[in-house]
Amino acid sequence: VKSLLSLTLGVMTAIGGFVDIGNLITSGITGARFGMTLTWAVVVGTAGMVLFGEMAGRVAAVAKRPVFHLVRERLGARVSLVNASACTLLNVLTLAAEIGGVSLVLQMVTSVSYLIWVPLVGLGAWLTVWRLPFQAMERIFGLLGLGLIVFVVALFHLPTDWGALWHQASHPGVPAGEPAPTWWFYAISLIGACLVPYQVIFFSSGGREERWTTKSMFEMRLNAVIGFPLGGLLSLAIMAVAVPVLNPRSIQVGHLDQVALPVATALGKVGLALVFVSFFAATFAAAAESALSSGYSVAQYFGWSWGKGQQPSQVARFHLVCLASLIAATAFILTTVDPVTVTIVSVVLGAAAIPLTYFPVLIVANDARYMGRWVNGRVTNAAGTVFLLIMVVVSVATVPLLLLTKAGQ
Amino acid sequence: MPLASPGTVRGRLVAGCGAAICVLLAGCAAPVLGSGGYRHAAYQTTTAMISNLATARLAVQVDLGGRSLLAFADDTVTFAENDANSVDSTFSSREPPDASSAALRQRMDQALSEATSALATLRITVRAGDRARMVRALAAVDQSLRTFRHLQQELQ
Repeated sequence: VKSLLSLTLGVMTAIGGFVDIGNLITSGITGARFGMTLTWAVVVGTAGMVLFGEMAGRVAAVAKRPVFHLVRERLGARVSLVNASACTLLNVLTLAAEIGGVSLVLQMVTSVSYLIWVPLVGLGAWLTVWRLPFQAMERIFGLLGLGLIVFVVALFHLPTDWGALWHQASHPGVPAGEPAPTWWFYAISLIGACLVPYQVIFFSSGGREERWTTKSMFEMRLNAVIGFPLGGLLSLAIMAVAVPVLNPRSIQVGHLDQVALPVATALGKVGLALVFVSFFAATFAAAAESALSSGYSVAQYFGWSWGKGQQPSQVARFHLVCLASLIAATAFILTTVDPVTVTIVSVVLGAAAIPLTYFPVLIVANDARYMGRWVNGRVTNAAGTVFLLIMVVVSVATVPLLLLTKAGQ
Repeated sequence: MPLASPGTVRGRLVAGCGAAICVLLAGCAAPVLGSGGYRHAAYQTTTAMISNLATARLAVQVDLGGRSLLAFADDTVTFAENDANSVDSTFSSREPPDASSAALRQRMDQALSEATSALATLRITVRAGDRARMVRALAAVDQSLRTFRHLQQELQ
């Protein structure tokens, strides 16, 4: 019973942990503006996350070493420095977006400006990283994040035209009157939101924190194969509720409040309260996870001791990197830069850096010296290679689209 | 190869810095638009204003139906008002290139002014929690929404 409970909790945390500020904002924007025509982008992003999440988890369980430590050993210090630097920079940018997101949620509840909340959120995230045990952090916020199911419930309470939703999802194309570059820009944003680098770092390092071995393979795969797709489903639900409520009114999402409006329309105060709790949990968990991921990637690159399971005095450099990332991200958001713009830029740059951050994972998972009989099979390798080739095309197109569309305007 | 004299180097430096400053200033200023570009900017402005007005309207309607929380309605309307003010000032900063654009600007200015004023009134009534005045303020927002939808159709 205990192991079953642990399994269920793991899957539920993966669902709750998948959706962060990037998913919330991009799903809301695209649902309101393009209907369900970008469903395929969420499907592609989620499939990539399952594929590479499973690979990273498998590496952590089999080699019993963190992925990025092996990446440095396998690819050499110089090549892996590019990878570690890109991951850390994107982690800090994502962290800034998440801190802004938590602060915006608190503003929604209290009407007190988000800028007042930013330093307090930064402090709270640091205390969580420093003091809260790993499993407690994962479960508390992961389970509270599950409150996002309220979007699925709202969809059934709204006058949803299921036929039209299915038609849009199954016939992707640029809606009439919308510029094609903008539609493609948001497709990349959705893929980037599903494949934020911190997720794979956190998933594999978390595996080491929880001392995964080859006996944990079933639990790890269940988390990846069920948890992430169900998280993707929540993203689609957020997108779908915008279609009957925001789209007909020509509302273009630019704030987190607008993402919550359809639930208030459908379910009233109770639904809205659940949205607040789940938005807070999802963004706060992601803030803590991305801060930890900065510590993980830097410590694993340099070969320092790391981990939440150890006394902070024993892993001082790891905690110092986490703290420095939190300070940098908090300071960045305090410059009054729009958190929603930071979110969009972070997911788009994340998409551009996918080949850089995910290619080394494929290399290590394909190396029999580390993986033994758990090395990638032909199907996994073929899927991983095809996916990375698509992502190379995406990453080449990202920056021109970012400039051409003025970040999706 | 002869070396450049210090005076030539200084001259190049001054010219380079001047060019860089010009580029930076050009980036800060709104670009000069033709008649078509001005109409397109007006169309984008109407789209953004419709979104802001419709957001505030929906948030207040949900609140009046007892399905929202005061802080949430206040926050949503405040964001809509701030965005509307930003859209207004961006459009106002653009110079109309010809007489027909100047006439369009006059109509847009009036509509923008009415919309921002309606949103400000709505925000004040939401913060005061005065439901009767909220209903009246909502009527003005509705009127602005109709004006912008009409303008958008014309500009399409």
